[in-house]
Amino acid sequence: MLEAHGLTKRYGGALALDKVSFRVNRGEIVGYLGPNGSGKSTTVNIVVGLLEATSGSVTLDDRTLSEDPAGYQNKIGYVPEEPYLYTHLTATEYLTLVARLRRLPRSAVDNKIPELLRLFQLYDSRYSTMNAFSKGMRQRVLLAAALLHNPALLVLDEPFAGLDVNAGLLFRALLGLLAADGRMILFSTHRFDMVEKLCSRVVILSSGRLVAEHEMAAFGTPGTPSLEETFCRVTRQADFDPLAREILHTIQA
Amino acid sequence: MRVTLEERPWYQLTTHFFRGLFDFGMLSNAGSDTFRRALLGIVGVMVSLGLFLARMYLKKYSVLSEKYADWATSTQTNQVPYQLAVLGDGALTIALPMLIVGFVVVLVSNSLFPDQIDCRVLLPLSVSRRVLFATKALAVLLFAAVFAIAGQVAMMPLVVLMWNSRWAEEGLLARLMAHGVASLGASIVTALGIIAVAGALLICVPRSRLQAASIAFRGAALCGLVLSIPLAWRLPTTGALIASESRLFYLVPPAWFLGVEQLLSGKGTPYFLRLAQIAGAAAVVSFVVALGSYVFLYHQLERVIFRPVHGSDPSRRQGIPLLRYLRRRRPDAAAIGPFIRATLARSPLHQGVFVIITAFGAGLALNSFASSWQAVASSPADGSLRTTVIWAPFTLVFATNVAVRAALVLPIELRANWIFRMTEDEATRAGELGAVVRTLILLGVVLPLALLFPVEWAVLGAQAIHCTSIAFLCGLVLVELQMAEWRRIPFTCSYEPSRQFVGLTMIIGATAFGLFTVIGSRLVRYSISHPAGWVAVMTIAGVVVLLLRRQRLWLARRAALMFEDVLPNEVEPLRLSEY
Repeated sequence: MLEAHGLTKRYGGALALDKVSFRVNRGEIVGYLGPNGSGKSTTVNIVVGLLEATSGSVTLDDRTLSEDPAGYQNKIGYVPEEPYLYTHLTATEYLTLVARLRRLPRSAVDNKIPELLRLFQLYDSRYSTMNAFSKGMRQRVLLAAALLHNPALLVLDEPFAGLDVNAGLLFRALLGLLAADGRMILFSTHRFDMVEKLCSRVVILSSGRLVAEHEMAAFGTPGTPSLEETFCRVTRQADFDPLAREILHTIQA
Repeated sequence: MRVTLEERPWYQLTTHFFRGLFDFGMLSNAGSDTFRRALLGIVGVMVSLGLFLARMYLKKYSVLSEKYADWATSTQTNQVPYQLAVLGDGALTIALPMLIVGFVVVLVSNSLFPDQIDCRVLLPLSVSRRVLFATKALAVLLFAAVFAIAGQVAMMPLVVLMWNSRWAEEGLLARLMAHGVASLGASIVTALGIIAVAGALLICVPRSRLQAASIAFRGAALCGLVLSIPLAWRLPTTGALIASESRLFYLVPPAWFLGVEQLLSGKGTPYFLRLAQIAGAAAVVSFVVALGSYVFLYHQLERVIFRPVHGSDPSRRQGIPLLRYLRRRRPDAAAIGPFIRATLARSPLHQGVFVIITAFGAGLALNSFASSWQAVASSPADGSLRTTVIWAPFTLVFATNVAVRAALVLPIELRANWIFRMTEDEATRAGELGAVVRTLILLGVVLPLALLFPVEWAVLGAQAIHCTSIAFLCGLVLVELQMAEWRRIPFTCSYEPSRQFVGLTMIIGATAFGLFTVIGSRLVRYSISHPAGWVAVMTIAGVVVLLLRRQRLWLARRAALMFEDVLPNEVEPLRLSEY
């Protein structure tokens, strides 16, 4: 189980996260929602160990990052918000680099990498450097890299950005299977439709504070507000209808 | 409605391509601005260099005027020293702008023709193929012209000084015009020559090998240009050779255009006419091939630009058995070694830094060899060739070490370093850093010594073993000193070039170079003259290497890796970056 306890992060005087606590159980996909600047990426970076919290802690199966850095990191697969990877490498070289950094045995990797590339429809481009890859292709390489070591926890920051429809559908089905197989998935996104279809629970963040946490089942019943309505209410979003009308008016002028 | 110049597509596109050339096609958006500023700095440096040159030559030309002043009234031969000087210096003032233009055009050689992205982005926007190609060519020519003109402006004070003399046979204005035409032509032909080679590569080389071929071309061209600097610097001493109509100058491009200059000044001797004919032929060939490349690509766009990439299977490239064995024996380095190799092989920026600094050292060594050869030719008993052969390995080892380290420090795709940050582990840190040290030893010590060894053997005989072995151990000491506080995975840490005052860096570098080469050469001389001395020197150097290595490994196990370059406190007294 992944547990975040009172995570607080300050950048100088600015408070980016304020005592945020949540958990992700095995077999669960937790949607992590929030407007821009609400602290989603900061949380994700703390969970994967790229950023140190000012206070609070994160435990994965009751062990913190400082107690067992290598063990902690090897349980995590991470897909960053933007497809940041070394584009002068080929997809095969990048996956090999990741496998070696994660100290995976060569015998396991030699077959797994071509197979993953084939499944993610990258096999034909396996010897081309990634600087000619589209965003969707790069995203697929990152997904393959995140799954390469069979992680217990998958942390996904906007994983569907740039994916085409087919790849998106495949990936959605894959996440469902991974969760059913007992993996924990923390899924940071802006897309309500994905959260509604994929997640079993949702955590909503606003201005660095956790403002709502609900089981997804709570949104499906008649008479209850939808996820979108709840999100707008708890994050105090403005009514966008007048703004949309104003844009239309400007276009038509 | 009247369309202004700024609104015309060809103007906008030319401006777009022209500006795009200043990011050198190899830097991120963040880096291009810095580089643009650096480039403006380079133009400033060019003008300053021109003024400095004029100051250097001021005394020479005043002496030339004064010393022979009294003879002038008696005999025409008084003009000879002046005429010889202006021939050599004239060649230099043509060569320097050629080198500058050559450097910048080589650096942008991957952006000289419309590429796949240009075609895919611009052609659907109702930009015609004709406009696309014409504007790209125009932008490239403008880019080369900016540097060519800056080069002329930089050389102008020296040229005025040269021709504003009592011995000058023609009027100053006429000479300036002739020099301007010849020198500007030389710079433009240099640019056209590089465009022609790049175009020929693009057309002739299969797409699957194009990247490797263009990187090899760029590396070789940069190396050749840097090696040409000391040769260009020797041009002022070649006035007598040119005057004696040496055929050697048929192979020296600046001399071709000196022929043009002389011809335009009315000195149409058969020798200068021949040089001018070679210049004309070079100009025509460069122009035809460059233009032909554009025309060919214009007509065969689909075949050349959109040709599918067929990569080769890297698993087939097994490498040398010994290296395979060493790689298998070092599992910690398994991730880092291939990453370093791939980056150095594919990144033009890193390759450029490596080649330029290495070529600087090679240029120094070559210059010294040239002087020694001249000395030996005039006096066979002269020992300067032996001195140079003992000194050269230390010069090359120092330069390549600095070059490799400078290349490893520069980041690539900085935001992709999260994978290294996520997987950092104390247990594998020393092994990963060891891969960096091995790269430095291989490229910075073993490679230059192996390349120089045949020359060493030819001049020193069996004593070459003394020289190379001591240079090897001194190289290892240098590597250990350079890597003592190294805590980075290459290319993954941000880099602050302003962390130390540039002047101070240069003083430290020059002092270290002097100490390394002088001490190294003395050790070799001592060990050659005292047979037991070689054993003593090797033993002491070996012990020093082992102690430094032990210290480095001890630190590597304790200190975490760096992913953000840290400014020293004295550079940032207010510590604003912490907020």
